[in-house]
Formats: sequence, C-alpha cells, structure tokens
Amino acid sequence: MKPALKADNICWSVAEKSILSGVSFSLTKGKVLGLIGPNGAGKSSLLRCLYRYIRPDTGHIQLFGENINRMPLQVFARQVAVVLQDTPPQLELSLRQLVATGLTPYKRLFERDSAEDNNAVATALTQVGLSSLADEVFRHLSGGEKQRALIARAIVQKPLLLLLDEPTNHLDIRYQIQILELVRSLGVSVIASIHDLNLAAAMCDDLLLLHQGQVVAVGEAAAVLTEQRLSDVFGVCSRISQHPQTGKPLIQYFYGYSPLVADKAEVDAARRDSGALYVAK
Amino acid sequence: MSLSESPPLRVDRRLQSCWLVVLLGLLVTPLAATAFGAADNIGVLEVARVLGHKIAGMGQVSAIDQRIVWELRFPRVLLAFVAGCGLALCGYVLQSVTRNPLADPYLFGISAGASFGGVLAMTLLGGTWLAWVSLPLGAFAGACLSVLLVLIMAGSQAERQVERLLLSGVAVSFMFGAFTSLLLYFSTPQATASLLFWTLGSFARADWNTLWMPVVVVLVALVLIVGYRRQILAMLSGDETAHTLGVRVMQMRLGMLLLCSLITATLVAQCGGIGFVGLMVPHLLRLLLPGRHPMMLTALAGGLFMVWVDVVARSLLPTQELPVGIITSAIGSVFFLAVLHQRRQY
Repeated sequence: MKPALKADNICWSVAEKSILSGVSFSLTKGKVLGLIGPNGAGKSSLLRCLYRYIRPDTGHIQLFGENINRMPLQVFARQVAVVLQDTPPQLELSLRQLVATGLTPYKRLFERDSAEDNNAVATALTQVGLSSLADEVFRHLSGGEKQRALIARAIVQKPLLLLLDEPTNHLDIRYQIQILELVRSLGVSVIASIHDLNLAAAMCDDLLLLHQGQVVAVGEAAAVLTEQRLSDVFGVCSRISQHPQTGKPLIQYFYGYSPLVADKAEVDAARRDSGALYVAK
Repeated sequence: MSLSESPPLRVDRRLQSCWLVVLLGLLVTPLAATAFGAADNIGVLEVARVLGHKIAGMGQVSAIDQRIVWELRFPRVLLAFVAGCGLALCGYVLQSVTRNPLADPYLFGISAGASFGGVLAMTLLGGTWLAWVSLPLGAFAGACLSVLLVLIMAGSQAERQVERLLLSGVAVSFMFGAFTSLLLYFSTPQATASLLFWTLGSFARADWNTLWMPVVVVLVALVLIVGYRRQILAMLSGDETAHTLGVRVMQMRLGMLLLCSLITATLVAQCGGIGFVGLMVPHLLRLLLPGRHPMMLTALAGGLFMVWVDVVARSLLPTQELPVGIITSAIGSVFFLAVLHQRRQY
C-alpha cells in the first residue's frame, strides 16, 4: 500500500541558514504522527513544506504516491486540511460561517451552499461538541472552543490527511487531551507538532524527533524517547518509565540542572536516588 | 441535527430587520429622495408622474418638471446610490483581505492619486473645454499611478505583504496630497474654489451620458466580489489558513486591490473624493450584526446612506449646495462615534 505521505530528503534554507536538512519520513495511512523537538527545530517549517506554504529547495513530497507540487492548490486542499495558529483571536465571524469556509476548496465561483453542505457543517459542529454555539462569534469562544471550531472546519474539508501545528498550545490539560482524542477519533492520517512529550507519547502512534532541522529519530515512542536523546536534544535530565495505562514511555524531569543554578549537590543526590542514567550536558 | 433546530439568536432577528429596513429604503428612496431639492413645487407625486411618464409612457407632464426630475435629480440620485454601493463594497473587501479594520480606498492612496490626477488635469487645461473631458481621465490616471506605486512597494514577500501595502499606501497618499496642495496653492482663486469643491466630492455633475460608466464598473465589481466571497471570507482567518483552503492569497489580495482601485478611480473621476463611507458603512454593519459579514447588505446600505447624505447636501442651505464629502465625514464620524460608544464591547 502506498503511504499517505512520503517526504524524501527535504532541505530548506533561508539566507544561507539551513532550516531543514535532509528530512525524510513516511506516514502510514490512518496513523497519527507526532512531530516533536525543541523550539526552532524546524517543526513548523516542515509542516509548511507539507502544506505547500513554502517550497523546499530540494526533495520531494508525495501524497498517496502523487507529487504534491503537481496538484492544483484547490485539489490539494480537498485532501489535506490544516489547523494552524494564525487565525486572529479577535475574528468577527460566526462559528457556522467559519466552519463553512472549509467548503471553499469544493466550491466553484457563485456556487451556493446546498442543504447537504449545511448538514455537513452542523454535523461537524456536533462532532466537536459546539452545536449549541453555532451562532456565536469566534472571538467570544474560549481557547479550547476556538481550537475545536478550527478542527470542525477541517472536518468539513473532508481531508485524507490532517496537519496540526501545535494544536494543544495555550490549552489547559483537559482540553489538550480532549483535542488530541478528538483528532484521533476522526480516522484520518494525522501529523501534529506537539510540545508536551508525555502527551505526544501517549496520543500518537509514532513520533518524529527533529533537532536543528534534522531527523534525530523516527518510530514508536519507546524507541524515539530515550533519556540520552532527551539530554542531547532538549538539554534536560530525565527518567523514563512506563505509563501504567498506555504502556507508552512516561517521562519524569529533574530540575535544577540549568547552569544558572549554583548548588548542584542536592539535585545530584536526588538523581542518584532515582537512578537516572544521563545528565544534561 | 438540522440547522433550524439551533435557537434563533438576537443577531439573526436583527439581520432580518436590517434587510427589511434596507428593502423598504430601496422602495421609498427613488421617489422620496428625488422629491427633495430647490424647486419646492415638485413633490413625491410629481416625481412619480414624471417617472411613470418616462419609464412606462403614462400620462402627461410639464417640460420643466420633466427636466428637473428626469435630467437633473434622478441621475444624481442614481449616481449617489452607485457611488455609495461602490465605496462601501471597497471598504468591505479591503478590510477583509488585509484583515485591517482601517482599510479603505483612502488608506491605500487611491483617492489621493485620483484627486491629484484630476487637479493636475484641471490646472493644465483649466478654462478650456478640454478641462471637463480631461478631469475624469486625469483622475483615473492618477488613481492607477498610485496603485501601481503601492503594488511595486508591496513586493513579493508573502509574510509582510499586508504591512507593506498599508505603509506604502499611507506614504503614497501623503505624497499625492502634498502635490495636490501645491497645485492648489499656485492656481487662481476661481480655479481653487472649483477644484476644492470637486476634491470634497459632489454629485452635481451627474447626467445620463456619463452615468453608465460607474454603474457598469460597480456592477461588474459586485459580480466578481460575490463570485469570490468564499475566498474573501477565508482570508479573514489568516493568510496561511486561507492558503490551506486552496486560496491563492497573494494574487487574490492584489486582484481585489486592483478591483477596488478601479471602482474608486471611476467614482472619484465622476464625483470627487468622498471620505469615510468606505470605512464606516462596513463597520456599522459589523457593529449591528457581529460575525455576519453581510456583503450585499453592506453595499445596499452604503448606497442608501449616500443618497440621503446627498439630499442633506442639496437642501441644508437654502441658497447653495454643500460638498457631499464634508457631510459624509461630519455625519459619519459623529454617528460612528455614537454607535461605538453605545456598544463598548466591540
């Protein structure tokens, strides 16, 4: 079977500065891939390449075996929906209208919304639990509701692949879990960049760890998240155990290893007691 | 779950009443607005009789009534309506595609360029019969020049396009404003008076021979804007999001800017610079109907507003006419401040 998405040797640089170099990976249909890495690792840039907002200097990206740059933008938008952070929080648009913009790639000029379209919008709003707020204005919603509204729009877009750029940003933990469970329940292939490593480990099928524009590791969470890598890439000291419910890696961090902290003795003692193997450089 | 099950909100009822008011206005305005003017003996009945005679060939009317109603006032009402529609539409589109609530034809220097072109044509060819021919052409050329400058300055960087468009628009606007002032400073007092009147805006030059131009331009623009309404709405959510919805963001924005320039240039050439309508009418409808973005309603309300402002301009002073631009700015700003004050949460 062809992979949902296959990226091959993606390189992109700005003003001689390399942002992405030699990124290759593939995503199996129906799987959820978590994109992790420190700030500035190139997660957003990689996603931008995938949704064609920037064009990589070299490399190919294939969507179900087809080169994405050969597809008309509108056709591409019917297969790939993206949830981003750039929607103005003060947007004066009713939820129903916002979600209906997901129909844009399917509509010809002057084409009106059909009863079927209205149903699709209403169903999507129900699916994200916002049907009672359909006439509310976007800017009056809470952070979690806003994020769910954007996902409802993506649902209306009927994509085969859903990309999300930090969908859990600025949300409290309940909404973080809720949003990712909602995304999983859609049954489409998903790539999401996530900051919280424990959340990423628990909610994604596979993880892709980026560091300085390169793929450090890709695969199952247990293989990607090791104490050594967390130390090398994030510069933190941690201990990894198994999550009692999911069996996925569970990371506990140790504090006080920043060079700014003078008294290390206490922290070192704590580390010895807990049996952590690696210390941040 | 069907859409009709969701509870109807106050805003939806208000949307209906707004439509009702505008439709009523559209019914009443042609007769009522035409009946206002210096000649007191022409009322709504006379207007109805003349229009009935002209359009349906019914009855008999006096030649003087016919001239005043059909040759002077009616084209004027129509021009005011078309101008109001066009300017409100420009404001709606520009505010949406730049996501800037201050965007209107003035902010992009279109009006300043058009005024400068018109004033330049008048100064160079003033006094000759060529002046009245060259004025609209000059205004149009000036508007095109300013848009060209703004577009060149906007560059090809997607991320900073909006910012650069707005900044260069403001700069171009000031530049042409200075040139216009310079020309006015060195021209004769009579020329200055007529130029000033024109730069402040007036519908006094409306006549059937030139009316087709703004009508065609505004209609064509309206059709295009209705056609691209999904893309315009999608751009409210941000450039990257619009891109992921299949919208070619940069081309769309430049195309819409060109379209608005065309509308503004045509209107300035016909009736001078009329401020504040493009900025205010879309805002007013957003204040009244938060989150609905009714495009047609905005255009029609802009048209009606302009017609009645022109009625005020014609009848406020007994002996002379006021430039309509002064009234739009004066009434408009005060009204706008009042609404803004009343609805503080906006």
